[in-house]
Amino acid sequence: MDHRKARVVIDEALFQRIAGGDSKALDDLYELSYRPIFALLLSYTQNYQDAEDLLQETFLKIYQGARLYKPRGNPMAWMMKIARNLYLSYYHVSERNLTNFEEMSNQIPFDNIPQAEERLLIETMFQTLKVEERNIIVLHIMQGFKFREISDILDKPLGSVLSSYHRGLRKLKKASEEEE
Amino acid sequence: MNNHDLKKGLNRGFDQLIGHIDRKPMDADALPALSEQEKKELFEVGKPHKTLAYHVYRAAAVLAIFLFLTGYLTYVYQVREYTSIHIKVNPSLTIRLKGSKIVRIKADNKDAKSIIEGIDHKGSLDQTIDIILKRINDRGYFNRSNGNIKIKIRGKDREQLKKEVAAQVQKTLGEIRVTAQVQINQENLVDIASVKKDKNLSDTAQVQSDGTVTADSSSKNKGKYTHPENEDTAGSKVNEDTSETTAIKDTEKAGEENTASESKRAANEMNDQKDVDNSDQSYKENLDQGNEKKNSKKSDITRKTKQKKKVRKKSKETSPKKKEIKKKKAKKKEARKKESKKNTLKKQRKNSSKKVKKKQKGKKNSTSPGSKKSSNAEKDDGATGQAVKEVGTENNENIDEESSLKEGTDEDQESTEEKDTGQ
Repeated sequence: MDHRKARVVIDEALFQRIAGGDSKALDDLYELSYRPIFALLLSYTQNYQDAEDLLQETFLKIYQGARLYKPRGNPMAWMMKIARNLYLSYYHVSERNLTNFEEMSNQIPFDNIPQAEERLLIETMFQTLKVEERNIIVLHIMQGFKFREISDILDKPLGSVLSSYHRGLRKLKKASEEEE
Repeated sequence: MNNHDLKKGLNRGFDQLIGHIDRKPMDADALPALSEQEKKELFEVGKPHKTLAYHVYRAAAVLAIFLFLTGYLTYVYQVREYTSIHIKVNPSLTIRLKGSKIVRIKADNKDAKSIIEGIDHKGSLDQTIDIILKRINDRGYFNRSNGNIKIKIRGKDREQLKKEVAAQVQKTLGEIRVTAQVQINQENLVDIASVKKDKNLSDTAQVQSDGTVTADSSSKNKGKYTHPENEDTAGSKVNEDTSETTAIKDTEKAGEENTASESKRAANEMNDQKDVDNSDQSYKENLDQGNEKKNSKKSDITRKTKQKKKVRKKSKETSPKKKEIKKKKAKKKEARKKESKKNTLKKQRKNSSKKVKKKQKGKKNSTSPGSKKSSNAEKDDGATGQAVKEVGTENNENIDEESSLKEGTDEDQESTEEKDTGQ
């Protein structure tokens, strides 16, 4: 049984309309796709405000570069890649040098999660997992991307994506069992 | 918590965390145009897409690098510079050389680890071989392997190295007085040229025709391995027999050398014949030559064995001490025979004298003294003559004794005649 979230389906014609200056098309694209993009940016930055800013910036760049989109059947992956590249260029870091920020507990509103178990899970995900492991879990479980697509978005080999995913899951499971 | 609950909890929790984020309003006209750098960084414009061809090219490149590296490494290690000497007794080990320098000494099994411990890599090859063989000897491995040493030389300059190693092995085996069957690259030590001619060789070590390296005749333990600790005791035991066996050994060696020289001569003659014939002979004749070679080799081997047997026989026949022993035995036999003959003659004399006395007593009692004496003298003569005749018939072999007896009887007759004339 697959527990992945249903993938967001985007009409590729939207990009042609955006490229033509249709702001309504941009609003539609935003409503469809802002959640998975924000989740990835939050996983990267571990800061709600910074992720929000980067999200706005990402859609601005999508609007500007909509004419550069070449239809390949996977517009979500293209947008995710733009968000990732924006983060890396914004913070002047490479994918290898990603580190967890220390004072991040105040930056993420865990209180938004009412149930204790789920809040604990999300807290441990941000506190114990590496950025790479967390990104893969977010993209696979919460956004429904396949591992091959994730390896393409994050520029990582498929093998290392799989191993990081399973390692991250083991860590989460162990942490939840310890709390119980 | 199982994986299902975990993933469900993560999904729900993340949805609640994100909530709803409104898009900020923007002025599209005020936005600056995208720079080339932004296009490259964000949209990856100009970067090649990873197609199937890209992966194929990458795999081909990796394969090419792998093949090049393997080829290069094999060339470097086996063809170009490195040579390896593999010594196998029971502890087997490998000496790797770069030029004339030892690069590495590697133990191929557990026993060899203790052998190569502490050996200096900076030393020369001769020294290291010397040390290794002596250590192998000290720990008694030659005894376990029945004195078999197999050496394989691979890599550059193997022919020259073969000679050097052969010379050194022979030298050290001579020093430690061990008899061993040495094979270098599946070739017996005797076949490697100029081993004997090397000046560095000790005079004590000798190579036999079957490839065995033996210590000199004074080593006393030819054909058998002796541990150096036990060597003195073994030597003292054998000392008694050495005087007898040295002559045999010398003759054996001389015979072996003769056979070796004869075989060489035969080989040379064969080579000369081949040189002459090669100009005219066809392919078939070459094949025949090959067969002849085989036959000649077989005949050489049979000749060698026959000559060895002859030499052994000669040595047995010509050994002076054995002759002396035989002579002594023959003399003793003769002396025993003589003694037995003497004893038999004495007994016969006694018996004959007793009979004569009895007869004389019987005649004295029956007849008068004068006539009796004459008649007795006559009878005595006859009796003694008969007795002599009997002895003569009984002992035809002892003519000297008979003659002496006859003389004795003649003297008796004369004495009786004188008595008769006196009366």
